[in-house]
Amino acid sequence: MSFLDFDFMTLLTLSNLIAIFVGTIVGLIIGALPGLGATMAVIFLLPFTYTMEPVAAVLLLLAAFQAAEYGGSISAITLGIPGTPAAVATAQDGIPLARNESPGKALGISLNASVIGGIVGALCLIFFTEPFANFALRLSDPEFFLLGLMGLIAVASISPKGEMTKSLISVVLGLMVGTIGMDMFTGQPRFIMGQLELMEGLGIVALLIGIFAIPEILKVVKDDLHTQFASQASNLSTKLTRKDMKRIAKPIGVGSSIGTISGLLPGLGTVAAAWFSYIAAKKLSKSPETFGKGNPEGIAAPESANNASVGGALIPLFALGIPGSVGIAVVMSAFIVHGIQPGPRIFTKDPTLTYGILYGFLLTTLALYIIGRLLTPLFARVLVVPNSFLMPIVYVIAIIGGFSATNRYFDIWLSLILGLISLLFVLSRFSIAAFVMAFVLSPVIEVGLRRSLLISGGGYSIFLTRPISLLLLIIIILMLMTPVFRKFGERRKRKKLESNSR
Amino acid sequence: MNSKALSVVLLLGTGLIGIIYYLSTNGLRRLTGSDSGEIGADYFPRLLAIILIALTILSIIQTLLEKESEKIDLGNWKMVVATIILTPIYIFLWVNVGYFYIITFIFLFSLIYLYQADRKSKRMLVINAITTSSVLVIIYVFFGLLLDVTF
Repeated sequence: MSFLDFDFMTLLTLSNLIAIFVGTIVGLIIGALPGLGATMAVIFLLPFTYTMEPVAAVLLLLAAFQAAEYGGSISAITLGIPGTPAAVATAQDGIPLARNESPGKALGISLNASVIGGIVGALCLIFFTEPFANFALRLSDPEFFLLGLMGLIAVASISPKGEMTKSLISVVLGLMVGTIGMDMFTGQPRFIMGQLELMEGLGIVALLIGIFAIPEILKVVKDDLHTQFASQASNLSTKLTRKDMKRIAKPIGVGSSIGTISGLLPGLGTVAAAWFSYIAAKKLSKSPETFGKGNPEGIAAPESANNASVGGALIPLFALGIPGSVGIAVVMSAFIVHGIQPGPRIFTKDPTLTYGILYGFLLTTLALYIIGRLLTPLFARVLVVPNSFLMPIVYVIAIIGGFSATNRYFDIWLSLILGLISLLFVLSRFSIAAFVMAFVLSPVIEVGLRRSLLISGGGYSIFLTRPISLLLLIIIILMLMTPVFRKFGERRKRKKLESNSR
Repeated sequence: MNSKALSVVLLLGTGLIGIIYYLSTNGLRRLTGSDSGEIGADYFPRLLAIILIALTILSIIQTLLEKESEKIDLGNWKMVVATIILTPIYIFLWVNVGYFYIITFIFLFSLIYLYQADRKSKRMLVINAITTSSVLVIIYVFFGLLLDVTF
């Protein structure tokens, strides 16, 4: 079955459309709330996917992810506080434009750019995933092991300066937690500490709520509980003129291209995509001096990039079984929950499901446009709800959500314990993103490594004798050397500056 | 507490986890009777434990060599501690006593009450009661009715 043979009636069912609608609204709300973010929106909805059909479940999460990326710009523009890390780039010009002209215009630019970026990402996903998957079918266990490893090191290497070792520790801890449960080769229980509940591994929803949601909420309680937000809740019509659209066409093109490519590369994610495209749009602009002072191009480029990167990050998930970002890794857990293994064989194994999700992703973008146009003013007003009310509500619903996924009390305790431990790790700048990625990729990496070693009779030379493996290995080594290169570069710069000052 | 001290404590804990994890793999090997060269259930965990211990040692050295140590901003730490104390009590009562909706009402109401800057305001108490009741209705509809979750 090719993408042209897809029966669209299987996609346009009531349950799928409701999932997209609900996902978009929840994503917009959570994305707009400062301190939470797109990944949090996906985690928040994950417990609900257990009882849903697989296509509806994945579309619910993707709709939330897409919408949260735009939602982040609502708070960036109306409050001056970015709702998602990627929206920090948007805020550079979003805040001055909202102040100088109108918040509605800034939001309109953000919405249109997000939607066009989302469509570009979705089209790339539809057209390029299958050729990628066909190529991936030629790869074997050694390459999958190294690709998984490359994704993890990529996430770890974008950690704050000087913290790469801690991020690598987070990766190893994530892989270790992924080994809890039954061994896939021998059926032997590993590290279950006498708890039968752990035979199938740690519950993914409980784990994500514990290590992501609880520390995030407690961090807001710690830092921003009584922060008073003053929202610019007037003049919020998102309608744009043809002249406005013409002006932002070029940065949207730049942002969409950069976003899709950034999404493809594991670890880069939406934040890097937003900043790369902001810088590129500034360089290509006729008026770069107005960037940071309310230039619409400075909103259009990062917003189109962060939405395009969502589609881009889905391509390696479907083609290789390796998510392109942490948010997509959480989406991948919905596949796992439904017993689906993403990877190159998914196109032949379950084409209706696969194309349903690919085309459905396009629908999530259209839903974002419609709901965004109608309800942006409402979401901007939601932002004035104080954190002292909002955080306890999100906290309680997160705990209950963790329980509802499996109906096991064990999982609530697990979430709480992991949440408290994670809070300390977050305060000490360990990477939760790297941990989550590693946990999700743990089975892929272990199976790839053990099968490769079984084929080679225990020798690691198998990774050196295959050309693609060798290439991947060289890339991994270069990635690990990044901090050393960075240090050398800095030292050289410092020396140059010193010699110049003399 | 400063960031350096917290890092060292966490890294020591991580190293300990690595050692315990490594020792646990001996049990896995005994169970299958595999020898040391075999790629059994213990192979990957053993590798991870060794990498973790090595990275932990490296990170401890890096942390100790750091010249600067930031003070961790504790912010509203009293509220965080209150939340951390109240949550296990809430879960314990929910699991062992039951009456999920009543206990959740009390927990949510208490958290919102604690988080307010002005706790004496009657208006706030009324808003709190209305908000908490509305959230419980939403929980009942979404989780109880739609997802058929039995609490």
